[in-house]
Amino acid sequence: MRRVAASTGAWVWCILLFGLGLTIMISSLQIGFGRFTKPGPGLFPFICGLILAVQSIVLCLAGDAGSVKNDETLRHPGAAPKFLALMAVLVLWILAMPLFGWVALTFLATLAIAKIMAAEGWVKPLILAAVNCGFSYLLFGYLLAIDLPTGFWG
Amino acid sequence: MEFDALFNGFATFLSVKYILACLIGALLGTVIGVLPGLGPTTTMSLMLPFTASLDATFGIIMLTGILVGSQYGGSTTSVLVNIPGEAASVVSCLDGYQMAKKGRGGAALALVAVGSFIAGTVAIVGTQVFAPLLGSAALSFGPPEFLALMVLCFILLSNLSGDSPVKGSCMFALGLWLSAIGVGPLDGVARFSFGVDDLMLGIEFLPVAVGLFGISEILITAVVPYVPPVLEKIRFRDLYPNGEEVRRSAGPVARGSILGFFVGLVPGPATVIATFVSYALEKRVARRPEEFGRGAVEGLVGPESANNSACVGSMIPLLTLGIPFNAPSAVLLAGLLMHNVEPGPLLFQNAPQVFWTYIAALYIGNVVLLFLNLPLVGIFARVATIRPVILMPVVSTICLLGVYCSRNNLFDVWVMVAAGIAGVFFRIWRYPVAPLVVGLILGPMAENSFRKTLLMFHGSLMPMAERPIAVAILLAAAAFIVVKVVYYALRRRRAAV
Repeated sequence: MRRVAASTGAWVWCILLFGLGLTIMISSLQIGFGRFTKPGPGLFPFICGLILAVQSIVLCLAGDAGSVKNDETLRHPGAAPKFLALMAVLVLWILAMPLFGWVALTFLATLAIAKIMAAEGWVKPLILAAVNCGFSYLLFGYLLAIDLPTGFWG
Repeated sequence: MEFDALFNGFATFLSVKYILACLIGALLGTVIGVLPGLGPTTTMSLMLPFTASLDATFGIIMLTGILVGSQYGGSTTSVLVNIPGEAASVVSCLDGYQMAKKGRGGAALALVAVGSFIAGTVAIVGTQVFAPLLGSAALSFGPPEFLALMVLCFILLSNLSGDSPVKGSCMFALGLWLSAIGVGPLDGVARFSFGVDDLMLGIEFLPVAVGLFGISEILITAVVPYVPPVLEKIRFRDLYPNGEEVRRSAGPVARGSILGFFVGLVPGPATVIATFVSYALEKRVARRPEEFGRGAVEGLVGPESANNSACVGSMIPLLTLGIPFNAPSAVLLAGLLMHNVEPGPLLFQNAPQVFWTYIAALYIGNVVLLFLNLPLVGIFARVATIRPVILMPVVSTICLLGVYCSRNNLFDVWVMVAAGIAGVFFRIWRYPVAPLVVGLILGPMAENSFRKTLLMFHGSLMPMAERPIAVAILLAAAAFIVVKVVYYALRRRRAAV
């Protein structure tokens, strides 16, 4: 295993987990620790936060936090922009759904995901988007009568 | 063995609706199981919200079908295209693909199908015998025993998933904390909700599981360059194994069936462990170990049998104790809870029909799969070659729809996306996500048993030492830690020499 305890990523993980653990512990104390004879609602999350904080220190000391053993997921050419674009599509899909409704947004999102994943041309992605949103609406919105967001189309 | 109850379980099946549920589940499980990355946990997570709208029996049968189907599906692509459909099929690539390259791919798949069927059946019989016994023993469990079980689960799961026990324990603790968000079960106090109404209701298991397993898979698949697999063609007449292949398979199937069942009872990724242990065992007892890695039939059928047997066996702790020891059983637990069925010691008293219907579903699912897999093997292999550019937009729609439909709430969809993005980073940095999911599910039980034990013993945990079952469980946890420490010390000493 490649030990990269000193790398930025490893430190970020340690600080993140330690910070989260500490925040949980402080918040739990505010909620109410209670007494051991009559435990309060903050006791259990406090223990979870304590485990997180302690283990993050152990991770750092052991140099385990940053073991990324040959992982090249985001190192492929163009991977990071694709990843960010996909995240943006997912966020916009949900954010705009109450406004524009399921059908329109699913059509656009399917098209966008297909294009981000390097679909060739426009005809096939357009057909895929139409079939995907049409089929999902027909099955869930119409046959199973699930109340999908309709947006301003009503 | 309660044959009357089992027959009642089969009687439940005597309806077109339930046979259809089993068929759909098995087919869906197999089809999605052959897709690289989408293993049983993801498949079941994706299908979970859709089963919620169906009746409980239909949903349970369908989920069971998906579970057993996805175990079969993973091996098809391992043999034909050298791509494991899921982690437990990785070992099958070693000898399965070599057999396919020698023109024995069809025979390999037929042997895998029959071997898996036999192993699955052995494990079902084992479940039928052991689960009610364990269930009645677990009736004497009180909060201290459940607390001890939680400790055992924490230690075992942290150690058995991923490459670092510390990372595993961090993820488990994170899952436990996530379960504490919202209004507390014992005193009605809102915790970590920051004034957000949706958080008051707590974080649901489903969006987290779909995000961690489904959305993160989509995001990772999208950024990794796609390499089209080379597909070995299979004709129906190629499916017949020769006499020598059948003879050489008998022992590995028998050993794999028994080994897999007992490995299934251990917390952690039982199916994956079972395949690797079985492969090592077969290589050790083989007459021609030099053939391993070059198309040895024993190296394929042994692990595949162990895989299926472990899959069934791993459901025993869930059904008898209500504790999922791995991710697929955690999803099945969520499915059962969605249908107001609470697995655990009281299952055999309150709803025995659920257990026996599950057993009947396993039997029938196994038979359905045997007849489904052999003739359709060529089609299943083709599914593996569907390009991600077509597949992933559809899978993302299923994820969104599934999570939205479960409560008609967009907040859950936000949780799913957040979990998906976090899941990508967890996977890149090798933080196992299964302990987080199990922690999220077990959280309420862990908190309840912890607080009730404290109340019971007036603020001290020491009286647990007077409870023999709790002591035995805690000793098992301690023994595991000792074994692990000794193992690491020996490995370090060997490395130094």
